Amino acid sequence: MAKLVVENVTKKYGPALTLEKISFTAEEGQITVLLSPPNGGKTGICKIVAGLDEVDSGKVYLGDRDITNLEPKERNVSMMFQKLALYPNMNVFENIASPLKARHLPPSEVKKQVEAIANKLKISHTLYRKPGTLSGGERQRVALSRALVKSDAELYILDEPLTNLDAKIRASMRAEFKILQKEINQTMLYATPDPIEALSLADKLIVLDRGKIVQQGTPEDIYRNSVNKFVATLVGYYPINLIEGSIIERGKKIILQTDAFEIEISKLRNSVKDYINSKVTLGLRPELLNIAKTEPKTQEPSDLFYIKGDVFEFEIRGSDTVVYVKINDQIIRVLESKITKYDTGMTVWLQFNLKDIYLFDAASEQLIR
Amino acid sequence: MVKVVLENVGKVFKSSKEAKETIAVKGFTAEFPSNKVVGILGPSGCGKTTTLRAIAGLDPPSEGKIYFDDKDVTYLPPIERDAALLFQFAVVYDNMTVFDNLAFPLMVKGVEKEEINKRVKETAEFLGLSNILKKKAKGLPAGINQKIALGRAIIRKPKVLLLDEPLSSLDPESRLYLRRELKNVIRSMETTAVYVTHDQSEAMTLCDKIAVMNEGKVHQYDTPENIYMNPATTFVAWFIGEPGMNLIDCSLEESEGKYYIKIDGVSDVSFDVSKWSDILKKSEKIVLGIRPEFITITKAYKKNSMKGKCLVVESFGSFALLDILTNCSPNNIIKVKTPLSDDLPKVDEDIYLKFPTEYIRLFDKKSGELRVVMTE
Amino acid sequence: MKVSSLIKFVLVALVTLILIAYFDLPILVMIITAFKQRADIFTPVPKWIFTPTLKNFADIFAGTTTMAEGTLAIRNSLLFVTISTVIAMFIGSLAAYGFSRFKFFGREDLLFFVLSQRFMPGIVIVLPMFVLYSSVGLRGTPLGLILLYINAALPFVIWMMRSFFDEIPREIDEAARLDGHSWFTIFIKFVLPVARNGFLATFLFSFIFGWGEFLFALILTTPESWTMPIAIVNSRVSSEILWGQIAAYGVISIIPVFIIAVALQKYLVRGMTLGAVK
Repeated sequence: MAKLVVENVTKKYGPALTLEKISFTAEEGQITVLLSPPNGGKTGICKIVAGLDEVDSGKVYLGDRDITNLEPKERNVSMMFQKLALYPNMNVFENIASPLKARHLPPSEVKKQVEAIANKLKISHTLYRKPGTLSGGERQRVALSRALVKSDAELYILDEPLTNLDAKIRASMRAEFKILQKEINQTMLYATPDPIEALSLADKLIVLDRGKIVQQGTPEDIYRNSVNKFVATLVGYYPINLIEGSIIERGKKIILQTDAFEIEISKLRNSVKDYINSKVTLGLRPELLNIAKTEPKTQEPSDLFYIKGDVFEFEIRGSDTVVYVKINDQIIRVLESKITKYDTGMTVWLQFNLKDIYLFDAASEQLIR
Repeated sequence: MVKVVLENVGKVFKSSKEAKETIAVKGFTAEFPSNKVVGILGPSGCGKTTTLRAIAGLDPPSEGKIYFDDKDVTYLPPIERDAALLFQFAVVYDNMTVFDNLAFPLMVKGVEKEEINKRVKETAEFLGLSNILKKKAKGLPAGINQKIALGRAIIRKPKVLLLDEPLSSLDPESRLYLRRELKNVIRSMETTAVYVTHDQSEAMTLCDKIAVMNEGKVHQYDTPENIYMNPATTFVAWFIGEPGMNLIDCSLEESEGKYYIKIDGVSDVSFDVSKWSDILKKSEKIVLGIRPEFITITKAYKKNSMKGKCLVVESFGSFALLDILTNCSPNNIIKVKTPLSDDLPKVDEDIYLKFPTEYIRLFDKKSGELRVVMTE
Repeated sequence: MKVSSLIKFVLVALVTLILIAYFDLPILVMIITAFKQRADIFTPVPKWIFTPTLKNFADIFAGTTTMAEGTLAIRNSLLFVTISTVIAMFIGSLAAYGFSRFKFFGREDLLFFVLSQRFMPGIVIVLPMFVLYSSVGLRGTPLGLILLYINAALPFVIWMMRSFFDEIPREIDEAARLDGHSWFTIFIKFVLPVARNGFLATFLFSFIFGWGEFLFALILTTPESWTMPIAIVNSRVSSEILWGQIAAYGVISIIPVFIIAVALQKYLVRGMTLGAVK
């Protein structure tokens, strides 16, 4: 395993997309996740790192080698494609054996390694069948096996490996993958559009917006300190509530005024002092909000806010409940990790902590946490 | 609005190449009440789309019958059934305006121009499309396209509305938004809707009743709540829930006149099931099911708790999913869902799991069927 | 329900029989004629019942009635067309792969240029080719005709193979590149097999084109290098056209193509990329 360093890579793909000054490091033995909505540039970066595409400018280093201009086979990397790219005319064994055969390993060694990885990924029973006869999940594992069988590769690139699976299989493979990665302990570059995958698997997370890196860091860091609206909306278990408002000063107090409600945020004076009298967007993550059915007793001063509203609607999704609370014509979503029943129209109190709010400048920036 | 009844519907696909028969659907018998949304939920290839197509009239079943109210529509072509179909990828005519798109089905039917105008305006307003009626349908975002497709489907006031995963190609925001719109539209339209999906949260929120399918068979047809709390088979137990129910092998043992369930491989955990001993005695092997969110975890041993080692911790905002390594079979990993706290177990830490009895479900291992819903 | 499907079946069968008769009756007549004696061929009313004879075939093999040695023409046809088609398939497929996978300046223009070779009716260049071949000494040589046939087949092969290659997802090439295989290995082992059906179909059609080629064979061959079409045309003796022999040649000429088509038939029908890529 080796460290991957991407330095100022730029590539223009046409009017639709340009990768601009992409710079990041994938540390040895860690999973670095590239997260973006579709067409954000993740596949482009994967292909460049793999050597399938050239850069317009910038450099790529693997370990202590400059691999920017090397052919894929000289780079010593392994890749799993989103579209799997299994060889349809060969059976599973031959598919997985392909990288080993290209290196002219003796057949006995090839057999040994292929059977070992097939065993690990639980597809030994499919070894002599053709890809066309396998289920979606099995094909995924074959593609993954082919990528992993090159056990001495310095970097493993996985381009949306779980995207095409059923939601159910995806969740179970995610956990399996986490265990697998611990066992293999290699440097991995993992691309996905799914924030849940990213939050779960990443040691380091890189968020891309249309070809530019907007934020990099640990998943927890990006979750709590999302640098802008885009990141806050993307990186979360459930889409974030965004409410327009502005910050004003009233006497000695600083108030956040929105269409739905007002709260005092004097404690954040230092962070927001440049934004008094500007328009801001308030971000509230549904999973960090709580609902109280009875009026809570507050002691001032408190970091907890209680806003009164009505239950507009609620949905039970398995073990969670999503409650839509209507406050002055604004609907705010709350995600409760338990099953609760509500009566539509009943009065409830929305509860959240000052430290959990996000404030963004209306021109898309984060202010405080 | 119309009641849709399926009677022993089955569909077999013959592949001449391999002289093989694929049984796509078998023995589907259910009644979809009028004016309700019924979901058909299951993994890829379970037969749900095939069933929907049979109801639509695109692919008649190999056996069985389909009724709309009392009318046998099994072999009627789609046009004569008065059913509207909404697909995964919105079918929108690019070169026509939104208005023309909506008007199309009525034009085909030969409805008068005035009536068409009226209905198109109504439908557009209903769906919030009034302000783009004059625009060309090309290049509009996917969410709007689906609305247009929906408009086209409902404008002829069909008896039955059939939806084949219409939201799966949309981004999460549009999907949430459109999901609620869809719910409102269907409710106010007084039509019967059949909604096919592999996404359970969609099914659980939209549908009044859900038919859970696997490999061509319906495992359970019930309300979302019942399906969740009292799954009829081990498949439903595993499939429903993110993550699904933990399924653990166990055995029935007798001691001093009382009957206990003991978990295979775990010595000091047992549950008194004397009340249901007659039912349980009939099973060769029993499976204990408990949902991850109902398992309680402690760092120290508590009476009747099982020891395990924490393998994986996935934290998401307000809760965490843990993979716990135990001595259970057939799968030695038990999943636990627990609210996020500072006290969260760490990887490789030892931890104790307790199963509150009221959430335990016992299944017969061979048939997969639910046998006992335990109470306190 | 059952009655209407019976009626449907009968109607379909009827239409099929009519179509078969329309297309195949002439061939049937030819086959019958090949086995007829001279007298039976010229009866005023077509004779369906007769005493069959193998004389026509015997004459071809003995070479007694035509200007050239009997089976030479058959052998020439087989040799020239097979060799030229095989070479054209090889060169053309490689070129098509290049056109499909690599982006280069003027790619579409070059492709169009190649294809446009086929737009021109052969008759336009027959005379210049005659002159050219004569002066270079290629006229009447096997090499000459083979070279010409390769050239004639290439545009078709390139055009067809390119579209078959286009249907094969690029990701397969990319995965093989990452595995570490050379371009040539990728072409032979990974891409071509997937395009097998298209390859075989193209081979079949190219072969058929070459097999029936008349104009250039007529102008550019001498009796030693005649192909079958030319031998057929020359099947006469001073005053008389040897219809029986022509028919016999016809029957013989069907055989190789028929064999190839039957052998390849199952490949033409089955699909290949099933399940390899989402």
